[in-house]
Amino acid sequence: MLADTTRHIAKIRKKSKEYIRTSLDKSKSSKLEIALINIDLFLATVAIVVNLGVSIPEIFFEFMSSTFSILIGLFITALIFSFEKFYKTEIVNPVNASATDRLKDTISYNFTKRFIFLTGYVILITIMALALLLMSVLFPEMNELHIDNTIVNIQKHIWLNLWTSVCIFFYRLILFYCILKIAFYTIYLVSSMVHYMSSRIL
Amino acid sequence: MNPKFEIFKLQLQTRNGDKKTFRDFAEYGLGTETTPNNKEAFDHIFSEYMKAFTAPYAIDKKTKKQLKIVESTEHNEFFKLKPSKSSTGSIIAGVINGGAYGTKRILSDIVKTDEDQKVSMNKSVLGYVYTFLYIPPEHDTGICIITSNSLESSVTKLYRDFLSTFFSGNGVTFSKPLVSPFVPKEIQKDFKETATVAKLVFSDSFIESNGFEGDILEGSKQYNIEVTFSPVGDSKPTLEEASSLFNKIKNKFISKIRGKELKLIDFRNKKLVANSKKFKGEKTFEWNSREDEFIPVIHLKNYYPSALDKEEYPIFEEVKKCCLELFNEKILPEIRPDLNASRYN
Repeated sequence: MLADTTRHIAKIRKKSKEYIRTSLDKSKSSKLEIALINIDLFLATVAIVVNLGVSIPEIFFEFMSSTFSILIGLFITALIFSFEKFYKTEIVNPVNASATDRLKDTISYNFTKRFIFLTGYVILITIMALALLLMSVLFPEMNELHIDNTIVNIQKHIWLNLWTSVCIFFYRLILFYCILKIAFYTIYLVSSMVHYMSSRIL
Repeated sequence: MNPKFEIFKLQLQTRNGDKKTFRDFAEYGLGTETTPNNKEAFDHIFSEYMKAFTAPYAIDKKTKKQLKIVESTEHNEFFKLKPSKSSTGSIIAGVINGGAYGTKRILSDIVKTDEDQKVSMNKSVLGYVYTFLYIPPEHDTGICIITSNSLESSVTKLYRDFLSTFFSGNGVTFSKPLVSPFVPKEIQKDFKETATVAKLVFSDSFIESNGFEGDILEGSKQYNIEVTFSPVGDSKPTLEEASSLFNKIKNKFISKIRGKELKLIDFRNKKLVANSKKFKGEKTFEWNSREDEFIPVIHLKNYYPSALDKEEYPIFEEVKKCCLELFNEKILPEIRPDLNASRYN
């Protein structure tokens, strides 16, 4: 079961990344664009973390935990909904199907697959972000940079202080990167879903 | 001469507005005994298309021009290259004959000067035209490419009308298809990136009795008015700048007709002539302004010089290759996005 879970998680991550950078007709790939988005998200994360104070307000953890819990619930609902609602082939006879119908069918199939994998990926990142938040609640010392600034102690515990600071810095970096990524993918999912649905109606 | 490729997009139209493919056209437009598969439908369209060159609509009595396939190797130098089916089952391409009749002429020999012959009004003088028709049975949009020379000898308009009539079938299910000029985006882009403006020409004709005011024109005759804007100096504007130049001058006042202002935008013919120096020498394109989309002309001399002989007459074997290359590389990916589309793994 553990091996299966790991394999499935790896597949979700790999496929969602592959699908998001490939156009819906699979004719073009935009690796550079996705790389630039990731760099932008990372730079924004660094800017946030560097400008954070010594401690993060407790209300932030409460607020984010509630938001993520709601998001996970909503995304799982969307995932179940997409399973039977999104893709339904309208081609009765594949041999005689028109070119337009075939293209529509391919795009519809690909969109559904992209939506499923990307939603799954967002759920996984959200669970990860929730776990990181939980660690902060369980171990409040992770929430604050404890730097003993007396000269004696600085010299005595210099490596310990440095190690703690680096760990907390990276903890914050991963947490905020996850938050920004969830926000970005949620916006992308919602906008593309609306666009897809309207194109199906018109 | 300066032969060129003229490309048209052909979109089937049905009377009730439904989307129908060329296979449906074979079945309902031309009539088949049984429901055909793609190959049968294409074969049926091909045989009917070849028959259509003997139909009354292959002759245009207004412009006095005729389309024909001269079935004789003795008279038709390119009979071997007459329209044939491709193995892919979607292309009909080959050399057809077309030309004008209805004029009293004398057939003269420039070498044997005493061998003159009278050409009567009902005799047409036919030239050679390469035609390429892409009609995928599973799609509703096709492509037509035709070589043409000067406006006078060109049978492009007649061939367009011929296709329009042919693809309306028996007229019950299908109406005349939409036939619109088409230039691949890649060629438009290639041109736009490298071209500079040679001149902007606005022209129209007016009859004096419509009421010109002032002392511009006198007498009740028809006049042509032409306004030309041409940049001076070495730093000529690019096409992007030409659009803003056009927007600036299009509403400028020129004259008055019956008290109404006549602006440049109101002129019937608005032309932009541009040069592109991307390759050897200078390319000149004439642009037609149609719904704000500029359509560069594909002259064989500029794009496919190997398809012309020393006297700039098309070498049809080469034209065939160039046409196929143009179609496969630049047109097909644009009009058939479904061919490049595939499902995610």
